[in-house]
Amino acid sequence: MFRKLSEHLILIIISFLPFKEAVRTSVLSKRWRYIWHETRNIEFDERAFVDVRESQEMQASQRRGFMDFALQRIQNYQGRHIDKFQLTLSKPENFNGDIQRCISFAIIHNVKGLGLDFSDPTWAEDNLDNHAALFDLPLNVFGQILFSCNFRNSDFMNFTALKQCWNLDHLEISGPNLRLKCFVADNCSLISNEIVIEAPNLRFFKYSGTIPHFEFQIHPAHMEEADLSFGMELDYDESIGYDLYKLLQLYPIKVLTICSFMLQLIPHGDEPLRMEYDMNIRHLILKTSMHPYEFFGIVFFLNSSPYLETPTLDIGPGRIFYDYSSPVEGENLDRFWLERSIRYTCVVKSLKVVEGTLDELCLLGHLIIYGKVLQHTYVPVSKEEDDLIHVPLEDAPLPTTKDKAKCETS
Amino acid sequence: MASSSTSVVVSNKEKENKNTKKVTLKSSDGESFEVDESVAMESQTIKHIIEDGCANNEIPLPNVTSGILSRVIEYCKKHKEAAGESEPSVTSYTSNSTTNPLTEWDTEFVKVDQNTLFDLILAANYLDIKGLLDLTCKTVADMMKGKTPQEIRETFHIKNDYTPEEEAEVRKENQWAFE
Repeated sequence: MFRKLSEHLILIIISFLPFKEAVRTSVLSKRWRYIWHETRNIEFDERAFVDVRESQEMQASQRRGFMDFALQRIQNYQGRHIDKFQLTLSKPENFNGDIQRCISFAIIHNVKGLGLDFSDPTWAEDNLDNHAALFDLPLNVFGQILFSCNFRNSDFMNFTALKQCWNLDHLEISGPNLRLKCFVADNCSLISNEIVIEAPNLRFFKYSGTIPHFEFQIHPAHMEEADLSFGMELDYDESIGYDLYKLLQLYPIKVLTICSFMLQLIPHGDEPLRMEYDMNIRHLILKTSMHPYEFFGIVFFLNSSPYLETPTLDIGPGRIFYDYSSPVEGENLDRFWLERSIRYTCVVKSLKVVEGTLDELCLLGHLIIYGKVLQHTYVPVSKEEDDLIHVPLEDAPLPTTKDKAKCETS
Repeated sequence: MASSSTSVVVSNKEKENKNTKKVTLKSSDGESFEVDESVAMESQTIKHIIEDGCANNEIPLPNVTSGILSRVIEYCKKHKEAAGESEPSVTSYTSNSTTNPLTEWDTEFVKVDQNTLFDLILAANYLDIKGLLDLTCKTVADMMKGKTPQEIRETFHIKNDYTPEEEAEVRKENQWAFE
């Protein structure tokens, strides 16, 4: 029957088989020996090579053999496109470069579905041997790829991944009992705009890119720090304010870094002035260009953070949206800080400012006045702007010396 | 007056033809099949012939017998109709779920003897009809799944031309797949 078909057609048929069965076709007849080499459905699964009943050393050796096999296959691959690439490997921290090579291979061959499974089958829930694996997997994943990453039961503590992911379609990071603590996605732009993160132990979340729809399943008690940067967003759409507002409701984080985009848009969400309830933030890092359009956002966060101890102004260029409209009518943005008299209940213990211009120093003065237990102020100013620091301070109302206040400028 | 009414009639007729433009496909055993052009263009091969302007009378298909051709036409008709009715299918995240409303019809369509199935593969390949090629190839793959090599050989009448030593060598090459 198969005599009628060309090898090209046999290959199409083989590509519908699970990889292991495709390999077995090699034994059907001489003609079939090497056709499977070019199958478009590639699944490298260490479980076919690694015997969990063996010693750890033996397993490591088998795992190495498995990886060598995978590398050999991809080096000799003759086809131009693949449909699916799946890699299942525990202990990925020992194979960083090899994994990179596999992923590059898949991408160069226009893979449609890329799956990584780093589950560790030997992980036991009551395993007190806490070997904290640090695993960094910087991935350059781009193109319309369905990407899934499974870390079930793995000992990962850190996962730095997904740099420069353009047009990623549906990112899902999941697995029951996932011990993932740290997730970083850098410069990501998703087509389907959906990121699902099921990581009950997540403590640190950093994301920069365009705004996706986030679906988090995390344990609020564990979440400590988030860094959200949406500088890649090009469109000013006030309705995004609602999404941003929702994003912040998810976890009582202690340290939050936010970007200029968020500052401009968050007051357009459910609440223009502050979060509905008090946030737990102790340390707030504002990446701001101190442009008037960001002021409402800054006030928003100051109002929402009664436990704020350390605000940090990280001043740098930001994308300012000239479509911006103020959430509150009639505000004079030029004298915003000088005319503000909202009382913050935050207990500002220390204030860090990076660089200084008039607006920032007005804010600074503002915080000094209202920071009731201000202990320490640190304002580094570049040498060229030496003069500048003196003039505005005279203008801005300063508190009378408080016992504990200490002002330090350099 | 008379000339203008004639021209009206002529233009009506042209319009009618354009709506249901037909082509004639001729099988290897000389049988002719008249089909809507849009249905025939499910085949990329035929589409290119028509677009190149070479489809004046009939399109000869020397590699396809009438029995197979009539089935292929049935497939194309059914899928063309369905494409017209529903929205373009959205790629789903899992390859398991299916958004193809014709799944049941397709399953019945490929319940044929092996000879016919393989001939359909060849025809789908020659006529470049991706949906049909994938459907028929997947059907063969499903017939292979879960079987031992010997069972596969028996099902498809594949002659084992390995010597026992050669076969052992091949098995050893990829031991992991045979365990």
